[in-house]
Amino acid sequence: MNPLIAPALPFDMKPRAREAVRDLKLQQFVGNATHLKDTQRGGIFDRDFGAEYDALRTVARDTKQYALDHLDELLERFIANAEKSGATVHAATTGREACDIALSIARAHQAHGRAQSCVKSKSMVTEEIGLLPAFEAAGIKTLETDLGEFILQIDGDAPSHIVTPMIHKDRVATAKSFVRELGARYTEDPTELTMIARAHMRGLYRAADIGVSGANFLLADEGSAVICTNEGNFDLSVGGPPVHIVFVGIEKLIRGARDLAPFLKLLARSGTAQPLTIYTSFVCGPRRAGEHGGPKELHFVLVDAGRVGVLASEKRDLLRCIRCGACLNACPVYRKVGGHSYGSMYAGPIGAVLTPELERAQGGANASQSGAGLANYPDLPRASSLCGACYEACPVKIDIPKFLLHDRTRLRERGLSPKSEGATLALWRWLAERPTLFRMAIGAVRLHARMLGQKDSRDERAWLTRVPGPGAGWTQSRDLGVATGESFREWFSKRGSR
Amino acid sequence: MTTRQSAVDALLARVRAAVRAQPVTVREVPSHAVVRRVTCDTANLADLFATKAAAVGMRVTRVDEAGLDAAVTTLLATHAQADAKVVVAMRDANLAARASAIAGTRLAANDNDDLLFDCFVGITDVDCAIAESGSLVVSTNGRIRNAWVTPPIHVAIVRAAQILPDLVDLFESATDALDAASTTIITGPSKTADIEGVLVTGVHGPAAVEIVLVS
Repeated sequence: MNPLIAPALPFDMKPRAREAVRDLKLQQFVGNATHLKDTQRGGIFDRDFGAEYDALRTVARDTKQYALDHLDELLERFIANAEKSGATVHAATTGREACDIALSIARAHQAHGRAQSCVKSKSMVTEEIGLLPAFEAAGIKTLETDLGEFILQIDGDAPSHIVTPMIHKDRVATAKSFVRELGARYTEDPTELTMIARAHMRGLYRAADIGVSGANFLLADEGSAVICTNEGNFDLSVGGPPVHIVFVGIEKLIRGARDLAPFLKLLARSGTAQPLTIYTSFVCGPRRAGEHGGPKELHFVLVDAGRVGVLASEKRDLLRCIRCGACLNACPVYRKVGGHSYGSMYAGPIGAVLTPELERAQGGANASQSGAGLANYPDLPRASSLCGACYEACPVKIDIPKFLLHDRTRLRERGLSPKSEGATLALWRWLAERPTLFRMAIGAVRLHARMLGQKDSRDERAWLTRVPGPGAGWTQSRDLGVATGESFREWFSKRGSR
Repeated sequence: MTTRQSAVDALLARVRAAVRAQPVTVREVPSHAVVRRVTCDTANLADLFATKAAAVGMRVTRVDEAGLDAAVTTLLATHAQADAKVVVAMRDANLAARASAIAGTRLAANDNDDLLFDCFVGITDVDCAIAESGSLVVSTNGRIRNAWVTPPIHVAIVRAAQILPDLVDLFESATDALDAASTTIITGPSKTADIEGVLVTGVHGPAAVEIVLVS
């Protein structure tokens, strides 16, 4: 698997974050794109839902939470209805099992001289289970058909955003890859580049033996899957090949189409500020008698890979996530460090809580211990300013800051916090209990900050670019603004004497 | 019992235990009233649909019943060269016959799975349309799968009476659109913004969706 999203554990976030902050191009791309998407998201909800936006989020939150609270019933109903439609349902406890199921389906077709090539629609869970390396190792040539994922695939790169996977790459890199890998003529025009990719993939669609996709929702009443794309690549991936496999995490289940509208109205608006994705596709069973096109076999692989453990834990809420990417776009930390800093296919605020939790739930012997997954990702709970922008942006109201704080507590309990953190807090407490000393200390800090602060040419404020001693880490990748004017205490005592 | 069946049963058992490990916080699915944006009382659904469909980048030609054939003829002449293949995928047999007659010698022979990749235009009718989002709903009920997504141009014939007010109505109405093996809600031409956020249409699906709205 690609070490960018499946790094050696325990994972140290800091070197990657430092590198990302120094990369001016990445700062520009990711910063601009996320800021724009975040603004557009606010705009479309204002326009279409106004004051009722919050009520819509509450409906979506409760509808999805209902599904999780009744997941056993829904799962049973889904399996029965999917089988009634002619689909085959499989279950995988681990990612490895999920891959093995797909490989055995492929082998059954290899026996008939097929299953040498696969067209794959974008799916987070297949990244999670490492399907692509497993298929390649078995000699099944696999094509990522989502344009962004395709460009990452030919570059040996990995997605850095849930919705816009190649947010960290530019047209120049794409142009060079297309010359190198596809023998295309050099062009930096995004339309021409897109058409080169289109032409390349058309032939591969026609020839493919297996189609693979994820799913955005599973409908228990109908036994069908709902897949949202803008490019139409899912429809082509499922329409041509004789076999289609849908990999899907069990948390994607909802009661049925009767509960779908709130999620569809929130998903595309939250992710890309569209009313709906261009294609919202429903798949219900294999092709039927007399029909032209569509798979002769349709398989669902229901993936656990830690989800059952999360369902049983106090973090059940995390499974409400519909992977819209809004929290990434809203997050001041993601905007600076980019997706690869999180060492997971799930980046940003939701990734910071979900990645250690899925790891814990799959952790074998220590699986029941809260905090076991954190030992492998000790930096993630701290990769947040706890500003709450992620919670505000979340269409299903997952209280991400609450879970980040919860994880920070677990880190301290297990002695996984840096020693300086405990020492700093102890010093703070000691000072705070001694008012005179506290005042003097604060005064000294203010004085030093003013002496060391440097005026920025951009504005009139003074900034500290390098703090000495224990504060050095803080200014390694950012500047600290110097407080100007009177202090709160000065202001408060003046106000009191009025 | 097969391995597959026992794995499915084992998953069900584990999910059952996991569900019980935490208290149920939501006992009933809430009312979805706030989800609906457009109601049947909205004065002119056809106008709203046309506006919203145009907003997401589809082109709308409005005609009356008598003008339908001429509109389709014009669209074919605009988009397809004389030798370009045309696929007709219609549930409505009468419409299918009319569209096939217009396509004439360019009509693709419906005899192999690769057919769609050789076509330049796909002409379809729709199961229904949605005014609120300007969407088309097309299923495999009586239609060749993917005739609306494989050729570079999609011509969709929508009758005003087929327009539902809101997405909610698709899921609550008595339409059989969702009973098909495959159903797609289409809200614009195929699009990507993966390369530096620059919008490009026609990446996998059609670059142009032409709606003929018949009132």
